[in-house]
Amino acid sequence: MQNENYFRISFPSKSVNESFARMSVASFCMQFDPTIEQINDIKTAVSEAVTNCVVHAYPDSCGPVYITTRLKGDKLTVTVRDSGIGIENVQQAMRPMFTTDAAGERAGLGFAVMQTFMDKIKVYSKPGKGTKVVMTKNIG
Amino acid sequence: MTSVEFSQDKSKLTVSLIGEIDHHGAQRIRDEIDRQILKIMPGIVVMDFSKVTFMDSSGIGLVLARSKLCADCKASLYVESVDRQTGRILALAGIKTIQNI
Ligand SMILES: Nc1ncnc2c1ncn2[C@@H]1O[C@H](COP(=O)(O)OP(=O)(O)OP(=O)(O)O)[C@@H](O)[C@H]1O
Ligand SMILES: [Mg+2]
Repeated sequence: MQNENYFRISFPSKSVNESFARMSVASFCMQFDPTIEQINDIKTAVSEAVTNCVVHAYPDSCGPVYITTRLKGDKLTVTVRDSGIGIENVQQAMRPMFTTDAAGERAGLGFAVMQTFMDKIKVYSKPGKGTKVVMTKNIG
Repeated sequence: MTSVEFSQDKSKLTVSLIGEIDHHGAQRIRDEIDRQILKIMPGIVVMDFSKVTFMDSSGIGLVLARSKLCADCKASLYVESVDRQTGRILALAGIKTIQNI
């Protein structure tokens, strides 16, 4: 039988939860004997997606962030979702150096980092409804 | 937890970053770094990453904004002792680093 497992968490979009979120996903993945480099890659990508929920999805408020982590065979899928303001133009948002928050010392490289450290990333968003980032990585 | 330590050698200010540099951590230390730079007005600022245990793109923002401040203060900024992971992230922004061997 194929190895299969998943877990879900949700938490308010407070910056103090950024480290909790990436640590939780990393701990869950330990059961599949990843390399240290793979664990670091996963932590970094999750941190980027969650930080975007904290900074951009709920700019002047706080709202829920949902993470689902699924392992099937060698394939890891992490979904980070919010019900925040959404993204008008996803293609533009994913372009390296594009940011709507230069004043907050953001570089506009979060999506570029996710793309560098995971195998694939897909972003679904609707203005006013929220954003979902689905990242996959082979950890065989 | 994220913190910062400073040491000074003549006109060189070394800023040792300690712990996890994410959005939450960077927010906690950036003002402290700026205050120290403005107080000392060094000719050279070295950001030392040897005690950094985690960094995401918030670290890029942290370095780029300090490099602007250093340019305004006519100081040169160097980024030192980054590990492979951190180096890959900084390289996405074209930030060059020096290894402390
Ligand atoms: N969850 C989200 N909700 C709303 N807007 C988002 C979300 N995630 C990203 N964005 C938009 O996409 C842009 C690019 O995101 P990206 O993570 O690449 O860069 P950044 O967050 O601006 O800067 P950095 O990640 O380098 O600190 C953001 O500036 C923001 O406008
Ligand atoms: Mg980001």
